[in-house]
Amino acid sequence: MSVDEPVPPPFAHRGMPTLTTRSPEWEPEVDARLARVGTRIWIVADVFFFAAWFFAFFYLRALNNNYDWLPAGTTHPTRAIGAIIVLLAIVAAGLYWAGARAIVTQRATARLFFWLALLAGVLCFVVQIYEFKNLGFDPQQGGGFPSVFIGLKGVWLFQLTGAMFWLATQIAQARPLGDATIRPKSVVTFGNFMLFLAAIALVSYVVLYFV
Amino acid sequence: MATATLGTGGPTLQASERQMVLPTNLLTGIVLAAVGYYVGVQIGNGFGFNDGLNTGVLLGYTFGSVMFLVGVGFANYPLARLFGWPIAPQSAGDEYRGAWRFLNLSLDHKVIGIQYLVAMLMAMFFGGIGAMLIRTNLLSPDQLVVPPDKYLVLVSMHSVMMIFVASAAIVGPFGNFFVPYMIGTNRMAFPRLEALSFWLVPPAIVILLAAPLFGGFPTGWTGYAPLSEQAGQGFDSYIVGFALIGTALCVSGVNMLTTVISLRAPGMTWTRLPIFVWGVFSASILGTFAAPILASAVIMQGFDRSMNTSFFISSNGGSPYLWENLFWFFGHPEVYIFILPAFGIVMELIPHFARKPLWGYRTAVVGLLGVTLLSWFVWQHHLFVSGIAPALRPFYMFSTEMISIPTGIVFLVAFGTLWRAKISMTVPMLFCLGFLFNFLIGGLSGVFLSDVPSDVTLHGSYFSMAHFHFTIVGGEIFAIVAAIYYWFPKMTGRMLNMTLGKIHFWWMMIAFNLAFMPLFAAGILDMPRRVSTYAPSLQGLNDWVSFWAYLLFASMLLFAVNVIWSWFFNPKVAPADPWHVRSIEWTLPTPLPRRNFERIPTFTSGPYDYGNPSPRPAADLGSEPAPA
Repeated sequence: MSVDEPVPPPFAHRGMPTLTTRSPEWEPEVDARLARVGTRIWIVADVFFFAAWFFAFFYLRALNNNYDWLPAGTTHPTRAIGAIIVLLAIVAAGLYWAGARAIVTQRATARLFFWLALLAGVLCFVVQIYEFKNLGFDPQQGGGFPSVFIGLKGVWLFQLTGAMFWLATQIAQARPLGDATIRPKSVVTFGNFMLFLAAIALVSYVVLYFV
Repeated sequence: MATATLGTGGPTLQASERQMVLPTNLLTGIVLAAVGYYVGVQIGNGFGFNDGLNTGVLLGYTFGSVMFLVGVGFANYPLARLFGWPIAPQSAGDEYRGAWRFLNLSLDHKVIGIQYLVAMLMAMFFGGIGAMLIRTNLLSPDQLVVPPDKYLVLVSMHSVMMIFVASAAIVGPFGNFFVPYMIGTNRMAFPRLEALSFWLVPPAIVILLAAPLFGGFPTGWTGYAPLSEQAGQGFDSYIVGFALIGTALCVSGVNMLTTVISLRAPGMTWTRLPIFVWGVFSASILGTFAAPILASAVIMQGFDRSMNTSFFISSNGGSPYLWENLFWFFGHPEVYIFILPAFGIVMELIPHFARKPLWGYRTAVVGLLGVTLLSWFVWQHHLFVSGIAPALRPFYMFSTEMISIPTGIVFLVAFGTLWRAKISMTVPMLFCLGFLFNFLIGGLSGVFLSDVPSDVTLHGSYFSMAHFHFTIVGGEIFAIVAAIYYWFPKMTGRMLNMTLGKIHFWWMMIAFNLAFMPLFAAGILDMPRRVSTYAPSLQGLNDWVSFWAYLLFASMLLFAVNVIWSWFFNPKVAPADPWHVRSIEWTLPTPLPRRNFERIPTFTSGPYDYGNPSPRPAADLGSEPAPA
C-alpha cells in the first residue's frame, strides 16, 4: 500500500480537522521499539537522579559534621512501616507487570490487575504520607539523616505519584481501540519503570532503615 | 482531537496537540502561569515556615511553570489519555501556518528547532547586555556604576543566562531541526518530550530574569553553599531555573538518543552517521545522565531553603562539599555538553568546504566518545583549592590532562581534513577556522588549570575566566554562528548576506581576541573574578578590554541585523543547495516540505564522499518505504 494513500478516519472527535496521510513510521511496532529504548534510557537517567541522594546519604554519614548525622533524640523510623511501603510498591509493580502481559489476550483480566496495581500504589502513597507525619523527628531541627530521609523518600513519592497517574491513564486506555490495546508492547515497557521504582524503594529501605 | 486507525494500518495524523482537550495557546499559558504563581506563593506562605518566605517563592515559581505548561497545551495529551479518548500518533507537522505556530505548542521538529533558535538568540542578547554592564563597571578600578553586592548579582545573572544558552544552543535548534533529516526519518522518537524540552526554557529564562526583583543572587553560576543558604529569595530563581533547564536537558537527551538509536533509515549505519549527529549524540549522553544529578542537587537546595533541612549546612550535619561534589559532577560534563556538538558542527562543515572526506572519521568518533567518557572522571579538579584530600589531587590532575588526548584527536581530524584541501573560504568556513584558533588557545590554557601547582595560583582569577571564555565564546559561539550561516537557508528559506557575514567574522574574531587575550595577563597579575574593584595599575588593561568587548557586542548586533533583514525583508528565496555539498538535507527543496521525506530514503554512501570521480549519491530518495 502506498505511503500516501489516504485512509478515512474511523471517527472524528470534537469536530477537529483530521489529516489522513499514511506514515509507516508511526506504526505501533515502531512506537513499541521507541518506548522500549526510551524507557531504558530514562531508567538509567533516573538511576543517576537517585544516585545523588544515596551519595548524600553516605557522604554526610561519613562526615558526620558537628556530630549531627543523627542528632540527639533522633531514631530511625519504624521498620515495619517502611516494609509495608516497600511491599506495596513491589505488589503494585508486580500486578502491573502481570496485567501488561495479559492485555492482548485477556483485556478484562489486565484491567483488573491494573486496578489492583493502582490500589496498591495509592495505598503505598497513603502509608508514606502517614510515615512522614509520624517520623519521630523533625528535619527542621537539623541532622544529616533526617534531611536525606525526607528528601529521598519525598522525591521517590513524587515519582510514584506520577507513575500512578500514568497507570490510571493505562486503565482508561485498556479498552477496545484504546491506546493501551493498540500498543500493548508500549504498555509492557512501562512495567519496567514500575519495577525500577519498586527496586529503588527496596534499596532505600535497606539504606535508610538498616545502615 | 483526531483519531488513530488501528492495527497495521497507518495512523490518522492528529490535527493539533493544542486542541485535544481544551483550546490552548501562548496567551492561556501566560495567564495560567500568573495564576499558578499567585496560588503557589499563597500556599507556600501558608505553611508558615521560618524560611524568609522562600517556600512561597519556590512554590510560586514551580506552580507558575507547571501552569504555564498546562496553559500552552501539555496537559492535553495526559488528560485525553485519562479520559479514555482515542489517542493518535503525532503528525510530522500541524495545520497551522505562519508565525503563529512558532509562538505555540507544535510537535514538528522543524518548528521546535526554529523556536529554540530564536529563544537562544534572545537569551544570548540578555546575557550580552549583562556582559556590557560588567565591562562598563570595570572601566574604573573603584568608581562603580553598580555597588559591589549588585555587581556580584550582575555577574551571576550574566553567567547563569549564558550557561542556559550554551547548554541548549546547538542541540536545541540544529539538533532538533537537522538530526531527523540526517538520519533519514520523518519523526522524532518522542515529539512531546522534544516540545517539552523547548517550552521549559522560556519559564526558566523569565524566572531567572525575575531574580533581581527579589534581590538577585550573589553566588555566580556555581551556587556554592553556604553563600546560597544565606542568599535572599533571588536565589530561588537559581534553583527553579536550573531545575527547569536540567529537566529540559534530560528529556531532550532521552528523545535525541532514542531517535538516533532507533529511527535511522536503511543504510544509515553507525559508521555513516554524519559527524554532527555524533556530536549531538555524545552531548545527549552527557545531558541525559548528568542533568538528573543537578536536578537532585537543586532540589536539596530547595529543601534546605524551604523545609529547613540541612544538606549543605555544616553546623547541622550537612556539608557545603556535598554541593560542590554534586554540582561539579554535573558541571564538568556540562561544559562538554556545550562543546561536543560544537565539535560536531566544525567537523561537519570542514569536509564540505574543503571538498575532502573527513579525515579519520572513526578516529573522530572515538575522540567524541572519549571526551564523553572521560568527562565523568574529572570533576574534582574544580575542588583543588577547596580542601580536597591531597591524595586525590594526582588522579584528578591526570584524568583532566588525559581528556586533552581525545580533544586533540578532534583537532587532528580537522587539520587532517584541511591538509592540501581546496578550501572554500565561505563565511561558515571562516567561523570554523576561527573556532579552531580560539579553541586551541582555550584548550591549551586549560592544561594550566588542570595542573595542581598552577591551578592553586590561577584558580578564581581572570586567567580561568579568560580560559573558559575562549572555549565557550571563541569555541561554541563561533561554531553556533558558523551553523547559522550554513543552515539558515535551509531553515528559513533565505540566504544571509555573505558580505556582511565576512565583515562580521573579521570584526568578531579581532574584537574577541583583543578583548579576552589580555585577561590571561590580568589573571596572572592577580585580578580576581567576581570582584568589582581592582588594582589601579590594571586600569589601562581593563579599559582596553572593555573597549574591545563593546566592539564584540557591536559585531553581534551587525549579525542580528543581517539575520533580521535576511529573514524578514529579503524577498529572494535561497537555492536548494547554495553550498553544493553532499549532505542529505541539501538534496531536499527549499523551503522544506512539511513532510521530511515522501519515501524513507536508503543511504548508499557516507556524507563526505568528496574527491571520488564517480561518487554515488548519499541517499536514494526514491526508494520504497522501509518496513516498520
